[in-house]
Amino acid sequence: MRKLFFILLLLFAAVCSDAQTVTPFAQPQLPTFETPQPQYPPIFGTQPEINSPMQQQSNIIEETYARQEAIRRQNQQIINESYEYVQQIIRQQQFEESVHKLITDGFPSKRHLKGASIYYDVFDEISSMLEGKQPIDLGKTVFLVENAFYENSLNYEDYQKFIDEKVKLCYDKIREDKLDKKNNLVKNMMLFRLISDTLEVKSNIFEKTIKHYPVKYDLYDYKSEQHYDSHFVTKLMKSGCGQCYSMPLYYLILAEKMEAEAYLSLSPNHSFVKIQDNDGSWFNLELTCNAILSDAHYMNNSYIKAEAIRNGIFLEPLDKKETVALLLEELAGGYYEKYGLDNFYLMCADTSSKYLTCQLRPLIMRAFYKTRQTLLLAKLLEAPNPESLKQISSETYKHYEEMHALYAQIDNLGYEELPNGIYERWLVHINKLKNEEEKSGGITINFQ
Amino acid sequence: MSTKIICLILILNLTIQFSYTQTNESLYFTAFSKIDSMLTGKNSLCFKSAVFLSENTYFDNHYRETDFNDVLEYYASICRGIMQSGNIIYPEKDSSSAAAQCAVFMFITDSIPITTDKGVIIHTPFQYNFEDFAGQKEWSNMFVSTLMKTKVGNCHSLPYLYKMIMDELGQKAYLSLAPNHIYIKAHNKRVGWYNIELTCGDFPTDAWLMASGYIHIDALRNGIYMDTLTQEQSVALCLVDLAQGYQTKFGVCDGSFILKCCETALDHFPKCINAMLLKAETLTTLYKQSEKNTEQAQHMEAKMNEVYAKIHQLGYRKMPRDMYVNWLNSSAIEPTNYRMNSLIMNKNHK
Repeated sequence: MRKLFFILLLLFAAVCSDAQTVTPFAQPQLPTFETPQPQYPPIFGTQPEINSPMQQQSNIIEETYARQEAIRRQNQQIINESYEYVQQIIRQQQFEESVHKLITDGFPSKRHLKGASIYYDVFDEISSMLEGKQPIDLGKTVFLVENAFYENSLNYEDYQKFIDEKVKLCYDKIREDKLDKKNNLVKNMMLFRLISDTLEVKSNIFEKTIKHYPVKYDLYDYKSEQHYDSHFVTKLMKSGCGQCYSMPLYYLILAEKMEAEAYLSLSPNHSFVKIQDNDGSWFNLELTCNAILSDAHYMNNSYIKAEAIRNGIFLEPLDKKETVALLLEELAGGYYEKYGLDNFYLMCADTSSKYLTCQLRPLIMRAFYKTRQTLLLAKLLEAPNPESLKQISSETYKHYEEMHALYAQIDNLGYEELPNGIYERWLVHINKLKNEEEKSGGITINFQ
Repeated sequence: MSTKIICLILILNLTIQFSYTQTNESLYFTAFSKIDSMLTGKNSLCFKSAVFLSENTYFDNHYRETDFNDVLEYYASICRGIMQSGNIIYPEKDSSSAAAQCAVFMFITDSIPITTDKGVIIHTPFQYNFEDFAGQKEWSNMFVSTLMKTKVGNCHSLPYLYKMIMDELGQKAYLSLAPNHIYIKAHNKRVGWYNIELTCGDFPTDAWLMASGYIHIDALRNGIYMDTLTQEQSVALCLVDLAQGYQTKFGVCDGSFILKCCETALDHFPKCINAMLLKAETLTTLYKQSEKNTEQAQHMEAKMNEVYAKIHQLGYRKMPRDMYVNWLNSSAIEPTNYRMNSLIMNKNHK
């Protein structure tokens, strides 16, 4: 865009005989752009010829007319060009203003956009839970985050009713199996069965058996690539299909309702549930494949290194408060999907960082924001490398340095991207499962 | 008369023996103060010197440090040769450190042809001591000096040698602890942190070490295992070696020397599990030796329990001996799927 501007300026300079008076390079923010005519003496210098006394001769009339027409066209052309030039100046001015704003204030706020204020309301509510002004409610937080994406179109009562029904089903089964309904492990194992196995419960009222099917793994959009809401818990509730984000959260929401102790835990690109037995030993509930897995299994499968464990970025049990703090990232993710980056994204990162022991996720969020900001600025300022960026704008170079500092912090936590080929192996595995399922007659949707 | 002479001879003999023991024991005190002076900062930290001290004391100061250093320098020169041979191709910016990591690994685990005046000679790789891997038959089997002499070593001497050569080359490599085991951790841009297992010439993953090495996740969280040791911590670890050499030679005695070594090591390396374990074992021996039901015994018992409780809380779980033997065998046979092969690309195979 800048190049185009320069070319136009050069063209203009060629047209103007008195081009020296115009020095747009030195003063791009000319204050007189609304009245450009006085700056173009050549236009007016030709005008007296139009009123020449030679017009009485007919052959001359035509000639004059033609000349007049040529001059008129030329004038029009010059006016057009000058208009274009003024527009360029305005654009340049706006451009420089917005670059300056991007450097100092970051991305412009999207709060005025439709539905964006809902996100701010949800943020306030989650913050007040974290600050202790309201009791921590994981189920409500998940609902709020997902409802904000749907612009308040979900019904909270339906959501609660759904959870209550599932919890009742668990308690019915516990009673039927004559288990201790106050035992933490009993509650957890029943939830595990509910989500990962077919449960047959005798209904007291109609004396018939209710069959409850397990949550299925969403083989088709487990990364939320086709639809952003594919990983939502409310989507799991509707479709009976979940993945490694929604299934553990669904489990924890039900556990919260049953007052069972269960924790969220993270591994690279994955999350699962951790529970403790009555002796205090920890178990990992892998809901996506109905298994209880060892820590070493996760380390082996995801190439988690000792540094990551020592810094608590993976396999650490996260309590309810930390889980809610982590959901702020999800809130920011929904906002970003709908409106793009602005200060809201950083606000979520900062607040969640206050309540998290391990700073990895907020750091990744900040690094993401900073990277986008720096790269955009580098592109706008046409800086092909860090050295030229430093020369063009030292303020932007500071952003570049801050970005690197954030990545250094992330590296020091022992965070490493998965080695090449691991993700591909996972994809092959998923495809195999897909084929098996398609052979056996397609997806069956879970209904109660 | 004859009996008297025999008695005299016996007594003389005993006193000689006694004084001999005395001087040998004093060597340990000297070695301790030398290593301690490195830790307190009076002298600069020197890992190879600390290792030499802890080993030579066991040999009653039989060897000269210059000879030890000469051998080390010779090894380092071969490694430099490998680095400069152009056979190591590594595309990232940190190529000098990555090449050193690779060269020392090759030197220890592979045959290296060396051109001399008498033609090409082959430097054969170091071997693993399967007969006495824990120095139970002979404590000096744990030593780097023994490794230099016999070219047979174990999970103590081999990683020590690796680190010492890397120190000579001016590159970084770190000792790392696992239960009854020491290995090397190194870092480069291509693969990040990775582990070097010299006993079988492999690059095991952390997950494999954890699962097969009987390491509780809390031990990782608390950093008692599988963490990198700083230079200071590595030198502090030599004090534990010194104490163990002393114990092999003289037994626990009154425990003071061993406990002093452990305490000093822990001052500079508070999570040194090896020092904690030796301390706990020594306290147990002393407790068993003490008269029961006395105040001293109770005090000893309380102290012992305190150390054991701390050890457990940090995540240490004792690995049964058979399990360790099985593990060692498996480490030599089982391939680990995540290797660093991509790092070592030989020109000839391209």
